[in-house]
Amino acid sequence: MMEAEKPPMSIPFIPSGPAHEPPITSEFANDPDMSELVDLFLHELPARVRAASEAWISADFVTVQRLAHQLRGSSAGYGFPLLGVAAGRVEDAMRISDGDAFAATPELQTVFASFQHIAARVMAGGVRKAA
Amino acid sequence: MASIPPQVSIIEDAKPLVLIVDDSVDVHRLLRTRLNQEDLTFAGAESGEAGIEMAIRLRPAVVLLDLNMPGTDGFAVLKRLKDHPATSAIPVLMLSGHRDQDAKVRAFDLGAVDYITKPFDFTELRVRMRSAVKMHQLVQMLAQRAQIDGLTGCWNRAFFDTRWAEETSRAQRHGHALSMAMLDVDHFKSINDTYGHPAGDAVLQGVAKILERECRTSDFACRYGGEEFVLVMPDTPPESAAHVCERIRAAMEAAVWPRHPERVVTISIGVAGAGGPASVNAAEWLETSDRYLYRAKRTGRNRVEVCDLSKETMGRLRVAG
Repeated sequence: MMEAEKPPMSIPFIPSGPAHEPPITSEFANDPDMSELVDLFLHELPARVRAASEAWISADFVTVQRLAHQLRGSSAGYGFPLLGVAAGRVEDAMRISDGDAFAATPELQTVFASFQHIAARVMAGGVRKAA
Repeated sequence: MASIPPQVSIIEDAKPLVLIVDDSVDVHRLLRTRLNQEDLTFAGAESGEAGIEMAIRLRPAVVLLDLNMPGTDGFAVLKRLKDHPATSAIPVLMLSGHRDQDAKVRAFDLGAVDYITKPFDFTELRVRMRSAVKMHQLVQMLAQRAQIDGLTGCWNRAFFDTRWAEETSRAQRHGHALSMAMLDVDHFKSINDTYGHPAGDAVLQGVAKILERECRTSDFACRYGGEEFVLVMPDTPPESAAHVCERIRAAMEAAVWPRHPERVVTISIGVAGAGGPASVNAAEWLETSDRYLYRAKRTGRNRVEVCDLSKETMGRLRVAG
């Protein structure tokens, strides 16, 4: 199927985490070597998640996979292992399915939604707010 | 005074350079921060192609290479680094978010020295980095020792062959001046026959010391074989090379040999050089300085004979020699 014929994705970008799940703060928020870097990571994260969500909606799976791959590799290093795991699930799901099959499978759409939820919880955690 | 190999100290003079090749800027920032206690310097490339170009240009001590990158991926980069003579010996540590065994096997088959999975355990990463840097230093040391003449400490013939081709190519490409000299100890067989081989060895070591003392930083001296040495003088026209060689000849003649102070040892030198582009290749250049060395021998020894290649053609040189 041609790219233009793919059905649009139905999952919109979710700006904040569900009320019953707490914000996530970095494991390294109080590490003096890391605090600036964590701030920078958090500052840039909304744009990345937005880019991934927009790519998802427009069925640009290459971009989704690339962004997920990058977050998978780096998130734990910034103290957000859960985000890395969620991004890894997205990347793995993109890799094992072709774009069309992926778009049509509700279970796989749930993987992306889960990534968005965790990203929203990380963003809700803000900067330098470790417990 | 730098004609003699600088030994291993060259390796310890500067902080080892680590080249990070990863399409994620987050990974670059993270690695630089987490490895900042390691006395390393860093360079970064965010694509495979940029990584290859930087590795060839910068010759880092270690490459940290991401496997999954858009465009030229880590496997392709690794293969090209291992195929290129400038980068083939650089240890490459693969970085990957996947624990896929086939990928690990392929990376090691292609020449990676290590495979590190993301998310990083930074304690482990630091230890593995140290190990890779150490490996690089040992490889450098071995490569350098393989190019050093054991008796005199000069560069050896293998080093000369490689560097001479590079120097002539560079000089001709850019129109730079370049000179080389062939030096031969006069009556060396007689020294060996009269005083024994240890005395002959001492003379060769003495020549090396004089070369080290009398040469400029940019020059390099090699033991060509037996009692013959070559001295390469980059960016040097033949008239300046003649001055350097005359200084060397005079120093040799004036040297006092502790065990045989009555013996004067001299050398003959043939110089071939060009102040600009020369119409000879590396082999013809070498052959010309050899011919002028034997002209110095024929005309009485303990002499410097000089050929200006930018004024001569090979036909005339063969007649002259």
